[in-house]
Amino acid sequence: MSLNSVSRITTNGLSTRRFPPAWREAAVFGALWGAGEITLGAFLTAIRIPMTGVFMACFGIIILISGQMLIKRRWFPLRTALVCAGLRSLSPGGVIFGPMFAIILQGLIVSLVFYILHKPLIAGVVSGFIATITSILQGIVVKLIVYGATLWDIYLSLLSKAESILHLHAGQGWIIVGLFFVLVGSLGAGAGVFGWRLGSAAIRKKEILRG
Amino acid sequence: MVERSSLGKLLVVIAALILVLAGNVFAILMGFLIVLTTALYIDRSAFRKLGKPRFWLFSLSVVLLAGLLLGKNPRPVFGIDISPDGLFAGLMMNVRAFSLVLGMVLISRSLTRARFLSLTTRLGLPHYIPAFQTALETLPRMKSAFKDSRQKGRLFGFDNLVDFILLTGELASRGCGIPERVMIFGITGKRKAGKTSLMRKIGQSASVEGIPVGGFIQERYSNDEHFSCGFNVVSVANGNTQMIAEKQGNAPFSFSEEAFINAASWLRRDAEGCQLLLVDEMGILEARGEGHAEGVISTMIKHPDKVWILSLRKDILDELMHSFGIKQERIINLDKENADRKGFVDAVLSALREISV
Repeated sequence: MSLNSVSRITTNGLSTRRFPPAWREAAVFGALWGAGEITLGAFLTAIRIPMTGVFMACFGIIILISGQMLIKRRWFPLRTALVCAGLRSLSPGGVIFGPMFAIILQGLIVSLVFYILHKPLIAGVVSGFIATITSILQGIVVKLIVYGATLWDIYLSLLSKAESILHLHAGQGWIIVGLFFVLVGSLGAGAGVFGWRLGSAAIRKKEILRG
Repeated sequence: MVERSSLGKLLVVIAALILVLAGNVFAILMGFLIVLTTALYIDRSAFRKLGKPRFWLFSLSVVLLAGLLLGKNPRPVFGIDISPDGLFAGLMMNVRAFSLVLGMVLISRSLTRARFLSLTTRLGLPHYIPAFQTALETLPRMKSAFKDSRQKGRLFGFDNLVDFILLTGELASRGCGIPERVMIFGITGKRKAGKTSLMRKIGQSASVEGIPVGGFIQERYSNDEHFSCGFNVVSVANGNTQMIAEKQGNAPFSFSEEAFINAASWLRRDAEGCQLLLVDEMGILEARGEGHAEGVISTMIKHPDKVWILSLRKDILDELMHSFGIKQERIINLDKENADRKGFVDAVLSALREISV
């Protein structure tokens, strides 16, 4: 049976189709992530912890990496993220585009990185690094869309002012910005390693239990 | 998705947002007035979203910084050089932000959860709604899984987290509802490795021992005259045959919905009296919960005290094992030189004897 024919049968909407296991697994892990988003995410936002998005991205990365190692199904992280994004609409704000988009983006990043790199440890580190940086970039991009491109000029002027106050050479401010992103990315990479450790330990324990 | 009246208002808001995004001062002001009027007319509570101190603090900073850092001809105000042009640019940035945030609040309010879910079906994700409902049902179970993983120690450490993830994984694979006591054996191997033949052999051995056998096998056929080939599904109990998949030349296979439904009904019928059930050609469709999956899973749930032999496609073995909860030790790989066929047959027959007792 070719994949082509499989997709045809799906779009034809046969009555033999049922809730696929891939979505069932995504539902369970999505529920786990969603529970964290609704409780921990809301708590961190309420007590005004800075960079809540980065911490929640790390939380998501740990679940996605360990889950992907256990489930071993392609695009599992993206499906899980879609379910989690839906659950995020249960929080008091209702359908909020920002966090929902961020969650789906994280799922897409982890799926794509696993699709390209295969090795869970490397994929975990790379996807964690990218996902946390993306969560910071998302905030900046949204502000640029909302306030317009002039905000970028303000950011650039602030950067050059900071350079002159700190007696740095022109362009060195960008190095500090870069270092900040590397620091944030390292948090995500750390979350990726932790997710990998968790997944590896879970697989080992599963094999021991199997005998 | 949205009622006609609210759709009209929504389109007005979207048009206003496009105007705002255009960047021109006149367009921004026009868009701002439209969004403001629409919000006052449709939903005044949308203004609450703008009441966040962080939003106003950032907006105020933008105006001040724009005055300080942007624009030409700065004038001294209380000893600080501030550009009126910069201040105006900062003000316009705030008008733009105010319009966009208010507009997005209005749009997000018209997109309720129910509408969001129906939108996913329209976007080609038909399985999203059942997945979402399963996730909702799973949320309370997460709490008990968390408690279970904490039982071993008072402090929540790495080991507890491992247990928690394992429990979540188990919950995910058990979700299909196949009871653990169902005895499922799997035969895998590449094409023409002898999967169906071994299945038939076990069926015959069981019949010789007086054990009734049911289910179905799939037979390949080809018609050189019409350049076509395909598969027939054949009932083990009475030999009924039906075409299940066929293709012409290099075209992809087309499937018979009726054949899948009939095969499922054969399984249900055979499960009433047979102890051994054979299911041939579990492949991509079944791994995705389509094809024979529904018939097999529903029969396994209804008749858990049966022995099953499934022929599994090798390239998606992991997914099939996971989907149907098949244990590694109950699978024979016919591609291996030392595949213990006799041992496998004996294992199936002894499982059947245990059930009979």
